[in-house]
Amino acid sequence: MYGYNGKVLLVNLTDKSYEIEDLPEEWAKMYLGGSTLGARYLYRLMAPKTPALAPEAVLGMVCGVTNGSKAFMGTRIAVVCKSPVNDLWNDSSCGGSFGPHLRASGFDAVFITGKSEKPCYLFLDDGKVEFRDASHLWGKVTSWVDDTLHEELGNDISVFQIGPGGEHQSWMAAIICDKHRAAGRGGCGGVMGSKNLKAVVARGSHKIEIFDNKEIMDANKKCVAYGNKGEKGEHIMHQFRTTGTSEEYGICVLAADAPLKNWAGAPEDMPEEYAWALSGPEMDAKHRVGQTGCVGCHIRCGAVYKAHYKNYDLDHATRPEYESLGALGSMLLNGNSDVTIICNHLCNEYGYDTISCGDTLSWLMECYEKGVFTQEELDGIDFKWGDPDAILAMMEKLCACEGIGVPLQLASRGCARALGKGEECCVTANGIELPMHGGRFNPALVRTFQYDPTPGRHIKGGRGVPFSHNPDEVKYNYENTGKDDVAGLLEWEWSDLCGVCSFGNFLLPPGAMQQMVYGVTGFKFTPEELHKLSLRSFTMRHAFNLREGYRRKDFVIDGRAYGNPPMEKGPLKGITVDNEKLGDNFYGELGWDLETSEFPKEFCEEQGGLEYLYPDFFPDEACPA
Amino acid sequence: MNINIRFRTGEILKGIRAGEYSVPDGCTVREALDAAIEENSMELADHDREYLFVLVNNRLGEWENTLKDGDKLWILFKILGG
Ligand code: SF4
Repeated sequence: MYGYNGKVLLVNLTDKSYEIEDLPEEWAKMYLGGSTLGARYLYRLMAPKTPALAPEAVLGMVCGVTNGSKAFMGTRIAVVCKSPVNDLWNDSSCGGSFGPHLRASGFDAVFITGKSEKPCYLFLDDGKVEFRDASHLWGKVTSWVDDTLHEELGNDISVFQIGPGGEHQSWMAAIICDKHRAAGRGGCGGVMGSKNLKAVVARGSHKIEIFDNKEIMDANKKCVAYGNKGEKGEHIMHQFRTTGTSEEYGICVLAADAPLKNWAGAPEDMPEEYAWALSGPEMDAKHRVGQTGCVGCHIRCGAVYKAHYKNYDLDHATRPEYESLGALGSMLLNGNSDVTIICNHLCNEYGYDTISCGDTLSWLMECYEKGVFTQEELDGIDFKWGDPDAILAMMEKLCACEGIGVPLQLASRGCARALGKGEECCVTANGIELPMHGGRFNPALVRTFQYDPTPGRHIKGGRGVPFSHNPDEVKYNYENTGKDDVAGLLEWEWSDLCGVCSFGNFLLPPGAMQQMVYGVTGFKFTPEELHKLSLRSFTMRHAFNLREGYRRKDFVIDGRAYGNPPMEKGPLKGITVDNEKLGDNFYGELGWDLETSEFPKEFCEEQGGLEYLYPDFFPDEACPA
Repeated sequence: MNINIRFRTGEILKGIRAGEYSVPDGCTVREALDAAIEENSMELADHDREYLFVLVNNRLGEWENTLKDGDKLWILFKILGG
């Protein structure tokens, strides 16, 4: 089988045992990799109703198709599990070196269940599997752990690890790779921590057999040429090579796409210079000391930053991405770039998702402003909007997991419920804090946030962020949206299972990912097959939630996210998105039940590869083995 | 009439003057931008224009919107989603 090792590792941490399974070829072709292949395994390996943090819960790390090949940007690996935030399906992906290293270690995926009695790490060393003591690593920050393991094991490893946030089983804990790349969302780091698993370390020399390297090289060449002068990708590639996603920040604040003040603010609530202070060109001029990027990427969109504030003196932090800038910037009315970089750095060091972290702090600021929490309850911190000292002090509480930092581990909605107050200020989709492109500015995203099986994500399919540039009469029209919405599932499902960086959706020329997949595996897909693939992938994740007993009514989004009540000022004044109509159109286009979001058997038959769902969903009908 | 134009367009129209421009009464956003480009002796290829969007008085605008005296424009690089 081209492109795969053909081996999947199943680990049980309770008794330190493991099995190596063959990856069925038909599964490879049907589900390819990433969260889609992960969904197939998790459905099989995890019994329904298993709590996300129970020892029996399963955590998967699944290579994308291009991991381990020479395809540009092909390093993205998917983490799959159940989210502790809402007990729904969860997937989160990560660039960096771990995907290619996992492949080189001889495996296409690893699924981990059980709970180690003591902190341990898993060492996947060229086909060998070792359970190692991690007591010297427990409690330590990610850069220290990464350096220590490199010193102990050599330079040719990749470390995929949790920070102290994951050890505390935080619902916003990330899994970190290369010290600053994060599979951040949905609390997957907390799931790893619940297993007493500090890290998975991979190394190896396994080379997957490539179907046709010439195809990959040709695709790579086209990717580079796409950025040439006069080509469609010229400016966007230039932007990513220089200022990365941070270029967008000030623009999004100005346009009211980026949220302010826990989604209740308008651009006029924050001085304009704050927006520019956290934007790429201004940040680079002040903080940049170097460039960085994922292995095997021709763009290298990251930058190394220095930052200084009070007792913090960083000379090797990373430039926050757009999402982090929004969450730790405008959401807090924070215009201090040093403090933003430091908070972002603390998230990487302690292993927290920057989006959920910033949103949670923003929720807490609103609660404090409204008197829901007193200063005393916040450990004496005068937690006022935009105050850099207060922001830093609260970050330190969170990272140290002390005082108010203890309930904050549960993120905004979890903390509100644990303390019995403040839930009215939460802005989430099923408890997951929302990313930094707002639904009122981009109504198409409301459907994605609310009804994707992995709620609250901007990198899941639908009509997408660029749809926000349409005139008002188009973008706020809620008739007949289903067709485009369903068609739009493809690009994100596809980049995820390909293992190509999400930015590939606009940084790579059309067709490049297909050519890469063909070069790696020999699998060629017609447009119809690709469409089916995206529907299959979506359905597999959705089916996981249905089996848990969730139905359409259980997929909820907080009112403020779609303008209920509408804003009373600013460019988005008066806008309420018809989220239920968008949902009706979407499910209607799929041919699913509008009330329950259940799918008919004919739909499954049409997409193929969903027969494994029949015993659970169509038990009275013929069940294949 | 006078309108104020500011830019945040990366490499596109780099160096173009931001500030007040005198433009014909009743002109559109597109015409105002073209006037600014001409005044700065610059050019904007169609391919580059596709990268841009506009805010008129802080609200999402369209190229064919008619302007009035004192309007404030932001010409911006399109949001793609970071
Ligand atoms: S564009 Fe950036 S995030 Fe994506 S692969 Fe390249 S360096 Fe990594």
